[in-house]
Amino acid sequence: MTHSFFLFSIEKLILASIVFGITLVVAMYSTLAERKFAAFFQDRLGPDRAGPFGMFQPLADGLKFFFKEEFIPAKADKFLFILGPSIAMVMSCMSGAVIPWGDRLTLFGHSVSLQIADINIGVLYIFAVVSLGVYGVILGGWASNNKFALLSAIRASSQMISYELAMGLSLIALVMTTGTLSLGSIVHQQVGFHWNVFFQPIGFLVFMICSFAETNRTPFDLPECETELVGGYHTEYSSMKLGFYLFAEYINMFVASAVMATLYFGGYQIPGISHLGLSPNLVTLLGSGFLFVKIFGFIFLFMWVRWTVPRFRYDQLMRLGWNVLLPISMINLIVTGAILVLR
Amino acid sequence: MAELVDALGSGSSESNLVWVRVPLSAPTIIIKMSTLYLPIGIVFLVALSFVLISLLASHFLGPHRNSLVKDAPFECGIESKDSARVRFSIKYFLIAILFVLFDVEVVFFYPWAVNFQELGLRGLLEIASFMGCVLVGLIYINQNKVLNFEGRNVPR
Amino acid sequence: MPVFFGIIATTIILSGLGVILSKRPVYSILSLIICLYAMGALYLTLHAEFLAIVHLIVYAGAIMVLFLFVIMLMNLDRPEHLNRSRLLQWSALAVGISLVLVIGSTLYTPSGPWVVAPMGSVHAIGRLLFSKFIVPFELSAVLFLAAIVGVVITAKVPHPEGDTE
Repeated sequence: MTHSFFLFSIEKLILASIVFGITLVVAMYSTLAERKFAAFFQDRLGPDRAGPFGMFQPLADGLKFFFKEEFIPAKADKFLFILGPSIAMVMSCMSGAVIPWGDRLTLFGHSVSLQIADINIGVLYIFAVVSLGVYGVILGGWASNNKFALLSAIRASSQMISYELAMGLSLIALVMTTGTLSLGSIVHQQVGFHWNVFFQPIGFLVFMICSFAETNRTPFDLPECETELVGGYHTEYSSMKLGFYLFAEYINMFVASAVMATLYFGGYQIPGISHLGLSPNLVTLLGSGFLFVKIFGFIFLFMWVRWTVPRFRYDQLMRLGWNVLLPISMINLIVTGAILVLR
Repeated sequence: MAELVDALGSGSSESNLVWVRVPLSAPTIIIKMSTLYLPIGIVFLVALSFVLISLLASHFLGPHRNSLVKDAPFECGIESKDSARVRFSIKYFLIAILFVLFDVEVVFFYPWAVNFQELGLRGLLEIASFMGCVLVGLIYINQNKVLNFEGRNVPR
Repeated sequence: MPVFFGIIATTIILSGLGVILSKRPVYSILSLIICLYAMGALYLTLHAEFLAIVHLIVYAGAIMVLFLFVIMLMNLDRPEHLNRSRLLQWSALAVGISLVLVIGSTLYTPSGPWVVAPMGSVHAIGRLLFSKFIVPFELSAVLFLAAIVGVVITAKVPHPEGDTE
C-alpha cells in the first residue's frame, strides 16, 4: 500500500470521526432542545436542574444510560435483541457520509474536502440507507418476544416502507432538474439563490412529509404510540440499547434536516458571499455554519410540529402515503418533465 | 501514485462514455472506486466501534439483577398469556409485496431522470407510458381496498 | 487491489454458507443480507455503481424485508416447520451442482475475465435503457402490473354471497 493512500485513509478517518462526534453532540442537545421547546409550548420551565438552563442534562442522561441495568427478557432472542438497536444506531450515522458539510478547506497547503465521500450515486445511497434502517426496528421488535413490541415493529416497518416510495419518487423530480445524483454537484448548482426548493416546492413538501414519517416523528409516531402499544418496539429495552434507539431517532432527525438543507436549500452556499472577497477558508467555515443554521431550523420545525399536531390514525397514515403522496409525486414528476421539455 | 489518487478521486467518470475493455487487474479502476467508497467503509467502522464500545461499557457498568417475574414479557402488569409469536394481518404482508414492486419501479426512474435533459420529449413519453401502468396498478389496489385499514381484516 | 477482493469474496462465501447452514430462518435471512451487501461491494470494484446500489435498495432493502415479514407472519421460526424430505434435498443438490457448472463454464471463457469499464454509471445505464432496451423496459411495466394484480387476487378471500361492504 502506498504512502498517499495511507494518508488519504487517515484524512478520511479524522473527518469521519469529527462528523460522527458532531452528530452525537447535536443529537444529545436535540433531546434537551426538544424538552425545552415542549416546556415552552406548554408553558412550563423544562429541565433546569443540571447546570445553568439544564445545560448538562443531556450529559447526565447519557451517563445514566451506561449505568442502568442491562436487561434482556428471558424469552427474547439474545443476539437479535442486541443486534436490533445496533443496526438502528449504525444506519442512522451512515447517511452523514455523503452529505457535503462544507466546501474545501486548505490546511497546511493541503486541500481537504468537507464531504466524506462524494459518490456519483449520493441520492440513491441515501435512499438505500433509509431502506436499510427498517431492520433495526423490525429485528428489535421481533426479538423482544413481546406482543406489543411485535405489533409496533410491524406497524413501524410498514409505515417506513410505504413512505420510502413517495420519498424516492419526489427525489426523482429533483434529479431531473439537476441531472446528477452526486450531492456535491447538487450543492454546487445551487449557487446564489438558485435553491431547488423554488423549482420543486411540491417535491420538497412531499419529501419533508416523508422525512417525518421515516424518522417516526409526530404526527407519524404510531410505532411508539404509548396509548396503544406500551412503549412501542423498544418496550423491553433498557440501558444503552434503549439509548441507541432513542439516539437513532434524533440522529435521523439531524441527518434528515441536513439532507433537506442540502438538496433543496442550497446546502452550505451563502448567497452573494463571493462578492465580499473573503479568504476561501473563511468562506468555507461560514458556509458550514450557514448549513448548520438551516439544519437547526429544520430540527426546530420537527419539534414545533411534534408539540402542535396530534397523531394520525393508522388508516389515515396509510391513505396519506399510498393514495395522496404517491400520486402527487408522480404528477409532480410528469408536470416537471413537461415544463422542462416545453420550455 | 499520489497524482493518480487525486486525479481519479475528484473527477467523475460519466463524461467519457466509451466501450473499453480493461482487464480486471488494471489498478487504476480499483483505486478510483476505493477512493470514492472506502470513506463510507471508514464511517461504518467508526459508528460500529462506537456501538460496540458503548454496549460493552453499559454491560460492565450496569447492575444485573434478574428474577423470574422480571424476565417475563412486559404487558402492563397483566400476566402474559401465550407466545408473542402471533400471526398478524395479511395486509402488512401485502404492503411489503407491493412495496417491493413499486420500489423496483421507482429505482427504474432514476437512470431516466439523470439523462432527462438529453432524452427530452421522447424519454418523457416513454416514462409516461411506464408510469401509466404503475398508476393503473395503484388504482387497481385502491379499487380492491387492499390498503384500507378500517373495518375488515382481509381485503375483498 | 486483491486485498479488497479477498475480503469481499470470503464474506460472500461465509455468509452464503450461513444462509444454508443456520438452523433458524431469521438467521438465514441475516446471512443473506450480509451476502447481498458483500455482493454490492463486489459490483463496486467492477465499476458497476448503479447495479451495486440497486442491489442494496431492491434486494437488501425491500425483498429481505418481505422475507422477514413472511417468516414472522407464518410464524416459521422453528426448525420443525421446515420441509426436510429426502427428495427435496437430493434435487437441491442436483440444482446446485448444475448452477456451479454453468457459472464455472462462463468463468473459463478463453478471453479471460473482462470488465467494460464506464458502463456501470447511472448515466450510461439510463442511455442504454432508454434507447436500445426500451421495449423490454416498457414490457417490464406490464410485468409489474401483472404482479400487482396477482398479489391482490392471491390475497383475496372469497366472500360469501350477499356480504356487501
